[in-house]
Amino acid sequence: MSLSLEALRNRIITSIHGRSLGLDEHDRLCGIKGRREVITAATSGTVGNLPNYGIITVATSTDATWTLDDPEVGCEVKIMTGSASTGEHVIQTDNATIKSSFSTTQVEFTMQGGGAGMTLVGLSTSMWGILTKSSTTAVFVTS
Amino acid sequence: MALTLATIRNGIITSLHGRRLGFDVNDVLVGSKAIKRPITDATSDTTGTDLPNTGIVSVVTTTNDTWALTAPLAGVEVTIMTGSDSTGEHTIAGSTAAGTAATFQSSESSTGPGIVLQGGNASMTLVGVSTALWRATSRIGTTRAHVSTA
Repeated sequence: MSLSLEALRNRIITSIHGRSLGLDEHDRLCGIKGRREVITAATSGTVGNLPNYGIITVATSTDATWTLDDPEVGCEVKIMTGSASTGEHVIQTDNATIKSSFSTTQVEFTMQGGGAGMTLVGLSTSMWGILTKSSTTAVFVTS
Repeated sequence: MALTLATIRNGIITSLHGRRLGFDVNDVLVGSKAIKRPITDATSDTTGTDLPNTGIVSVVTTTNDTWALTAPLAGVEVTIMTGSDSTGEHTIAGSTAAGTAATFQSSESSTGPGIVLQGGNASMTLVGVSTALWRATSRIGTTRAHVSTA
């Protein structure tokens, strides 16, 4: 059940850049090895909002709060703790809400401990949906 | 451990669109801020329409409903999530282009014909492994998000 890079490139029917990037018969982008994302490393001293794209690490030795830019529809952002600190890493939305299992009107989430993370996707310009969450200590949404 | 957009764009050695899209030395696509995925809203009124096999799909029902999922494309992901806190069973059945059943693989079962999501914010991300097989790469749920065995 493997699918090699060569096999994918053989399926390109609309080339964008030779065999390195193109569209297959289903209009799916294929041919690339991967995609590099921006990584933002935020600490308790970071000024300004967290971006609404890419990968974000947040680190604090105690408790700290950051504000996340409102979503772009259909775009993901991955946020994770950048240390094993037991401090509460609180991510507040700017104006958007977070659709969660507890309510559709939550406005922040908390991560605690190493390896905690959450992937959000913009369902509208005012609502985030949660795609994945993982934790060793705590990851939960709060109002 | 930061990696800024400017740094990434500085690594472009084959430009596709100025500094906004290109390949780096490892043939990795770089330069864009993000990729936008389509979002489909399905309800109990649209059970007759197959769910797309790509992007993000929200399913909503107040009772129990079943939707068919368009046949998988190998290597392509789709994320399906509940769009409300309803306790109804949101069942997603697999199918192939030939009209036969596609199967789902997860840690619970390797031969399930569908998945069930229940409760708010239950979701599963699937990747097509072949044109007849989905595999779950991530799932979350407070009530249920699993591959059905029957």
